[in-house]
This record gives sequence, C-alpha cells and structure tokens, in this order.
Amino acid sequence: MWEVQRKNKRDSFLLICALGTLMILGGVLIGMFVSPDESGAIFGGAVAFAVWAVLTGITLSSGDKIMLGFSRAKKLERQNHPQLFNIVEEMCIASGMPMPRVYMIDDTAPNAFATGRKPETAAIAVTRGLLMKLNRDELQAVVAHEMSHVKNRDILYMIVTGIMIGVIVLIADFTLRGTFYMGRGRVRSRSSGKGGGQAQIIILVLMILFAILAPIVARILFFAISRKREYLADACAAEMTRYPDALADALEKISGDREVLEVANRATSALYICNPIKKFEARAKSILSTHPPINERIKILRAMGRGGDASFMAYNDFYKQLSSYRAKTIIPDSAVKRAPQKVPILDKLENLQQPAKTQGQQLERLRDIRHLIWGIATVGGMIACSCGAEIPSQEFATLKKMHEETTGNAPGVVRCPGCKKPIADPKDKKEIERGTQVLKKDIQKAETEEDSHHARLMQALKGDNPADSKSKRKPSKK
Amino acid sequence: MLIPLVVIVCFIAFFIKCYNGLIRLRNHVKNAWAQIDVQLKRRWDLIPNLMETVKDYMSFEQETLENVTKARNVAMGAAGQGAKAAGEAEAGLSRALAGMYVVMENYPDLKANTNVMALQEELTSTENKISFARQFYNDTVMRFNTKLQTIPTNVIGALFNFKEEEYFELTDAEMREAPKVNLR
Repeated sequence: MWEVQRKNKRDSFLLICALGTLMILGGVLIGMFVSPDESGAIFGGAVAFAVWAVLTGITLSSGDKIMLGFSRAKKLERQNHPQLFNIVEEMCIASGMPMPRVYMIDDTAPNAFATGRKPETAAIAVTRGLLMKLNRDELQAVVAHEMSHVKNRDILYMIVTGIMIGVIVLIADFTLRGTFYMGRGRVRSRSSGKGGGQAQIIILVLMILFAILAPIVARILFFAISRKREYLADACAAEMTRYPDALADALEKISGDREVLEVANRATSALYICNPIKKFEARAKSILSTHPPINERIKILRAMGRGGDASFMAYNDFYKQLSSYRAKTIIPDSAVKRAPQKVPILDKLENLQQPAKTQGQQLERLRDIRHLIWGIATVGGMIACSCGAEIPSQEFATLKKMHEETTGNAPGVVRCPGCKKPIADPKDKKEIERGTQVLKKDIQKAETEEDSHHARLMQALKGDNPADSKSKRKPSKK
Repeated sequence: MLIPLVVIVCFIAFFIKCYNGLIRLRNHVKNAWAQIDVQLKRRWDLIPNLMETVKDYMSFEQETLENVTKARNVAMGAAGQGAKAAGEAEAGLSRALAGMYVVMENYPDLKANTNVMALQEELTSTENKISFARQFYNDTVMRFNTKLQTIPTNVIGALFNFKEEEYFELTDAEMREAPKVNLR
C-alpha cells in the first residue's frame, strides 16, 4: 500500500523534526530557567540539539540490532531450515520485496516479529514454538503479516514514536526535577519587577503541566497507532497469501497458547504478532493495549474466508461490520482502488465434500487432507513435558506401547524428545498419585526452606549484621 | 507572452511524466515476468531428479511418469511465446504433476524416503512460488493495462505504440471446466 508507506515515511520524518523542535524548546526553557540570560538559552538549546542528534542517529541505525539482541535471536542458515526459508522466499515473491534475514528465538511460546527500517535491511524472527506448532500454511500467513509490517514502513514509524515517547518521558522527568530543585532558590533572588516574576511562574506552571500530560498523551497515541497498524498488516497478509483462514488459524493457535514468551517485555511487546504479555490479555480492550483484541482480528479474517474474497475491499467491509472501534474504514481508499477488487479464495473445505473433478482440484484436496490429519493427530490434546516439548496424545500412546514391547517393562516409560526426562502418563492413576506425592513433598520442602530463610532474615535485621544480610536473598520460585 | 510559455512548459512536463510512468510500469511487468520465468525453469530442472528417485519404486506407473515428462517437454517448448501460451503449457505440467502426487500417496515407503521428502518440499515450494509470482505479475499487468487504457495516458500510449500485456493464467482447456466456487 503505497499510500500507507508514504504516510509512514512522511510522518516519521515529521515526528523526528517535531521531537527535535520540542527538545530544543525544552532545552532553551530549562537553560533560561537555570540562568536567565542569553547564554543559558543557547547552552540549553545546544545540549538538547546534541542529545537529539545522537539519539536519532543511534536508534535509526541500530534499532533492529538492539531489538534482535534484546530477544536473544540467533541467525539461521538456509541449509538447516529449508522449509522456513522457502516460505519466506515465497512471501518475498508475492510482495516484491528482497529476501530478509531470518532469526530464531529459542522459546517454546509461539510468536514472531519483524524489524528493519526498509525492506533491504529487514529481519524476521520466529520462535521455536512457532515452528513446532504451526503448519506450513499458517507459518506462511504469519511471515506474510510480518513482512507487510516491514513493507508498510511500520517498523520505522514505531521506532521513531518509541524514541519520541522515551525522550518525552525523559524531558518530563528532567523538567520536574529541574523545577523542584534548581528553580526554587532562583525565583526569589531575581531582582526583576513583578512582570518578570509572573512570567517565571507561568513558565513553571506550563512546564509542570507538560511534564505530567505529555507522557500520557504520547502513550495513548502510540497505542492507538500501533493497533491500527496490526489491522493493516492483517489485511495485507490475507491479500498476499490469498488465504485468510490460514492467518485466522495461526492467530488462534498463538493466542490460545498459554506459554509466556520470556524475552518479551513491555518495551518490545508492540512489535510481536500477538501480545506476548499474557497477563494483560484480559485488559486488552482498553486504550492502553498495543494489539487489537484478537477475537476481532480472527472474526474479520474468518468472515473473509467464508465470503471467498481476500481483497482489501472485503477487509474494509468486514472491519466496518465487526470492529468495536468507531473508525469507519481501516484501509485508505487509494490502496483499495489500486488493488484488485475481488480476490477469490478456493474454498478449501467445500472441495472436500464434492468429488474432485479435475486433477488440479485433487492437489488442493491433498493439501486439505494434510491439514485435517494434523488436526486429528492433535485432537486428544498434547501432553507436555516440563521442558516445554509437547507430544500428541496418540503418539504418546504409541511410544508407550513400543517401549513396553521392546523392553518388557510393564508400564512403558516415554522419554521427552527434547530433554530425555520420563513423562508421566496423564491417564495412569498410580503415576498421578505418585506425582502428587512428590509435589506435596516439594511444597513442604520449599515451605520449610522459606521459613528458615525468613527466620534468619529477621534475626539479621534485628542484629543488623551486614555479613548475614547478604545471604538473605530469597530464591524466586516460578 | 509569458503565460502561453508557462502553459507549454507545464504541458511538456506532464507529457514527460506520463510517458515515464508508462515506461516504469512496463519494466515492472518485464521484471515480474522474469521472476516467473526463474521459478518455471527451476521446476523444469527439479522434475528429472524426482523422476530418477521415484522410478524404482513406481515401476508400475509408467504412464503417469511418462505424462509428466511429456508435459515438461511441451512446457519447455512453449517458453518465449508469450504469457498466454506459456500459461497453457504450464497448466498441463501442473496437472501431470498433480496426477503423479496422487499416485505417490499409495506408496508409503516412497513417501518416507528422505530424498523424496526433500524433493517434494522443493517442488511444493516451487509450485507456490510460481503461483505467487503469477499473482504479482498479474497485479502488475493490471496496473499497466489500466494506466494504458485511461485518459490521458492512452493518448501517449497510442503515440508510442505501447501494447497491452497478457495475463498469465494457469488454465488449459480441461481446467477451465472446473465448477464455480460456492460463495456463501
């Protein structure tokens, strides 16, 4: 969507300039407050300018390296992950973008993000959990969503607004401190007349107002913008893959997974495909969430799938009907007009009920059968090991029987493919009993340990012995 | 004296802009076609490998294997004759390959062979790439044709003999009879 791209680029540029102006203004004000003559203003302005230049330079040039480092992502090679690289390449062809670098985050929670100011420097990161839990079509939909973010220059815009908010918060903080600690003495010692004194107070009041309101307003704007971008990326992904149901399936799987992505935090959560902070999911309807409510995203995509049309126009129509936000349409009109008006999807499940008339349709049917088989294999649920690996319950039963046959032990023991520890069979009552006993013992042990730690802490506090208080760090239990 | 000069200059600038726009879009179309070409060639190259690997297992399916080889030769022969001819030939090859996949499902030990699995992944990926490249090409062609057909660029297009480009549709005579999609 060239209009969205241009808008993002222009808005990023404007925001950087606005930030620069704001900072210089703030610097001048602070400078004048500290020493109320020309030199103060110039000095304040110069310092602010320097800080702004350095900040912008660093973030624009190495923002994505920082993000990737934050998430502890490892670069992948083509020969080790041919399927993933094929999927990314297919999406490059569909979108006309050059091939990005591919990274993997070693976490079993499924999630993905993309960074990169422009398509040439883009990078996509997926978690190990995503590769394990999603099938090929769903992976493709997720990759398409991330690449649309890069294509629309969302990343550029988010990084710039991120800096802006960070800096506004810093300035606000600094102004508050400045007014309280440095200004107090000066106001009284000024020998200018009443007019000068009043001006000082007005400036003071303005600065305090700014310091309090600006961070809040900036955050609200950031979240509103971030939500809109997610919808746009969904629409682009659906149109690119011509198969919105895949993205809906992927979003369901990712959001339904209860695991927490450990490397994500509030600062980086905006860039992931689904909100990785599970605790705040419940409050996702407020204006303070970075992602739109996931049910809405899924509803719109499924409606498109049923309607058989993956175009931008269809997305707009369903967004109008189903979205809880009061915006009328989400995709700019120019993008809708420029794209094909109707993009047919082969309604996959319908084909299964009719006999395949041509061999072209048979190929589609094979794809559906593979998809269904995956669903059936996991219908009994997945049995999880404490290390995070999961086995479909039917496979678990087969493995158990195989172990019994090969070793002759009465209850077969299934070992986790990841960490090799034995996994308890959830259907075996004795094992459950044993497990509960072990758990109870663990809890008791932990409680006695906590008590003894607590006792020692109390003693140390009373006696105020520095040597003891060092070892009082309580172990954090997950 | 000045005003007519300004008007003429504006007119010429507009003229140049339209012409450049048409040239740019035509190059986009050529580039998009080149993408498809790359993927089609890749598919032609992968097929002999697949034939080698499966022919030991599928010795009773000579006819299916021969269909694929014949269709491949037809497709290679139709290269360079424009989008429409290539579309029909490639559709024939896709159909032959699909027939082979259906037959391959009956041979479990063939499916478990790691070479075959890797080749199938590559072929699936190539088929997907062909279809994505095709949709990108068709979108580009749509933009070019639209620009060529609308006023005022159609005047410039007629002046310089810009021709409309063909769409690349993977339908041959048999596939065109497929029943319509049931839209609810």
